Amino acid sequence: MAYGSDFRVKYLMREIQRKVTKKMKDEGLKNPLLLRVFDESEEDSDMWADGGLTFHTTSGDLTGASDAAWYLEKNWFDPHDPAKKKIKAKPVLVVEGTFGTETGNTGDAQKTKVGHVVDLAEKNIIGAIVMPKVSEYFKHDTKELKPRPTIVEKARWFQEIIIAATLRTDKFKKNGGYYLVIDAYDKELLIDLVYKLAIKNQDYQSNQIDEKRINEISLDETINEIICEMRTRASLKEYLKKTAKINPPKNGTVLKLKTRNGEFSDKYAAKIHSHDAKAFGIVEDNDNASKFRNGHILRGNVTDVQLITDKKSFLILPRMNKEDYNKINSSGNKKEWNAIVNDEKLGLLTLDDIDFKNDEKELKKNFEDFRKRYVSKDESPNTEDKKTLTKLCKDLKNGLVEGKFLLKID
Amino acid sequence: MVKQEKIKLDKDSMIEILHKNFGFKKVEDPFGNSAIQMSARDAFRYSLIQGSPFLVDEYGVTLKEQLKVFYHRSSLNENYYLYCPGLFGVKRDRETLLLDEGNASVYMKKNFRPMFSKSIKKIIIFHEYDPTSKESRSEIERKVYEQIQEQKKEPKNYLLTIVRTDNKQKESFLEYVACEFFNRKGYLTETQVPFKNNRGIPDFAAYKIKEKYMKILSKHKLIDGGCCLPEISAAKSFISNKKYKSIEPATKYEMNIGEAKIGTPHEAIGQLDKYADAKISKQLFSITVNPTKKTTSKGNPTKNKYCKYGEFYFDDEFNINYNPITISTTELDKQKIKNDEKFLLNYIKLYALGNLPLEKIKSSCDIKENPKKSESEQLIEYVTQWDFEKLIKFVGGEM
Repeated sequence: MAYGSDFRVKYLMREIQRKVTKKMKDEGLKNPLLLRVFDESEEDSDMWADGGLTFHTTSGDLTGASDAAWYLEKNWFDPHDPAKKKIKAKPVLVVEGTFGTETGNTGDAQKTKVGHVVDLAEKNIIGAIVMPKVSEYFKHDTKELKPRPTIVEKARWFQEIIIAATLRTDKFKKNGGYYLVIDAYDKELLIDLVYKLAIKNQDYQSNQIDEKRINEISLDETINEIICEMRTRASLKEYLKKTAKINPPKNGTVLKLKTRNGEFSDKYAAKIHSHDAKAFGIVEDNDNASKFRNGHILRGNVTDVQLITDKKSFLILPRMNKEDYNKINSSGNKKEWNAIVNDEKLGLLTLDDIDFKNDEKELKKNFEDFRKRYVSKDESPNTEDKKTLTKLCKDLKNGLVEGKFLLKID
Repeated sequence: MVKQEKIKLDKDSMIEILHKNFGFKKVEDPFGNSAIQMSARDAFRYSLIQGSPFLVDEYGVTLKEQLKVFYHRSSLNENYYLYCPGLFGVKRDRETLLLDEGNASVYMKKNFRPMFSKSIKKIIIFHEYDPTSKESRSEIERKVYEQIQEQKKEPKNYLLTIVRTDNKQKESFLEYVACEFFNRKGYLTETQVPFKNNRGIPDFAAYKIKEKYMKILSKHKLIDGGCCLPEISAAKSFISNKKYKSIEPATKYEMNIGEAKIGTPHEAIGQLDKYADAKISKQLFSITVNPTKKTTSKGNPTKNKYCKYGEFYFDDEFNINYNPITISTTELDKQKIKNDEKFLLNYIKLYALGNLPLEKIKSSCDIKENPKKSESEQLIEYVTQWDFEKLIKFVGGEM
């Protein structure tokens, strides 16, 4: 059994609950918040109504399984649960955490966390990703320019996640729904948040209205402190400026797209990724499935684009065609896939959904050739092919931004 | 030939294993059920490896995975040291990361004194849990805590082992048994072993370091025999004047790797193959409840195709059986083993420093505010340059 990042997160949540409970006990109060946390992620995957840490997405699919949740012993049902099953456990704060940045899981590996908490704000719950705002990881200096034994790099919160989270929070905070990102190294801030939530959720007498209001304001102040810390990391304006750049493109996000009728539409946005069907479990040998599975990251990426742009957002996977799409669609375990294709605000497009116009023979053919080379092999592209693929994806983005290519959507 | 019965790892067999193999006393828990009694020091090790929390509060405190120092071992990662916050904590001041009070016993003791109290024996409660009841760990801990109080007992003197009625989440118990077994044979041990980046994490390792290093550690009261490596950081709390007795003194460094499986030894083969590839382990073995079946269902001897690895298991009387198989020296990489010995000695040095308050560590390792070099980086650089005997003597003098 391997432990690690998950275990540390779960233990941190237990420590916070213990400290809050003790603090309240010292003040003669009982902590009304209960903590649900398991040792292993297996049990997290049960639905909240069945004692686990998984919820329904707004489209009725499943969120990722979170690490821990604070709740009150009060009646509740998930508004997005098709069965509306009632239970005596009302979630208040749901946490998904990671220390993966300490081992070099930088970049969009952080996006795996998005699908765990993003849907909670709409249920009037606080969903929080807890990970170090700045952490260090020790990497190989292949050029050996730095002395051994250590070479240290800094990893930071991924900006797209932060922008998406603040926008989501702005939309739902008036009803008590938040999507927060909290520094895992700031234990005191986490304790303060849980403590103030516990105080706010005490039973108040009718003559304690003022006290209740003061405690609500105090909680708002702590949440604002968290949001301010988030805003120091990313700016929407800067992000949009960077995304609009095409010479060379800075990322795979496309903010406006031409549709079937040949006109640019402001209704859609997209994100291009170079993964193929292996990302959703279509492998030759099932033992290799976990090595290639990247559905979490892709879901996180397209969700972020949707939250940032507030447009229907497509994940464009040009290494896949309709045949791959159908194969995944009829395969078994595809939680992340379902969460993308069933959500009316999201969608997934393959090479066959792009009208390359005059570049049909060039760019489309290059993508097709690339697909053929790897589709039946449990292999990642070699270094040379990776460079080629990056170039193809950049050409695709440029073509879409310039309106040379259309998407076969209405 | 006596036929080996298949043992099921349940509450009763766990108690029997601890009692028979290590002499831990069988007692009753506050609810009249069988339990195990241990000294505070033994309970520290049990929590460290098995993960059972001390019920110091409604929400228990476990030591498992709390005292980590490295993610990976430098010997298998081009001599880079991959630091992990745990024993030493971390805090952020804007963009700079600073060392902080971590989970070393010098700080744990401040908050959880009863955990270290030698005068009160600790009792391990074995709580059966039916996973279909869907209670989370924190919910169970809180309930048991309250039930102990209802019995007018002190929860802080208890640890809680949750035993699932199915066969899941029991590997850590097997890892603990392996640790205790090898510690009593004079080995230094650890679980969730730092290894090669992205090549998995072995469940268990038992090390022999050269006798001269064991003697230095014992002379300065950092060990009094075999122990788990993180326990060295709690030496100040636990090591008494007991005289160190060497068991099978080693002239050479050795590392042995075990992989715990609740199923059959065969299930460990894939991972053991991967660890064997590193070419630094003298022995590799599975840690399971039952051994590989010796006979087929028709009573014929099975062909043992997997004899390249040893087996650690229990016989039908719950006694530990360890059948080691030593890897041929031609299949080992001498240079890597030499590097691994160096890594392990540096690793031990950091655990030894864990006995000292953070400010003392920072001043003795010349750690200063430096926006270009984090404090953990400075710590590792300094410690790797500090002579083993001089550092251990320094720590011993400061304890």
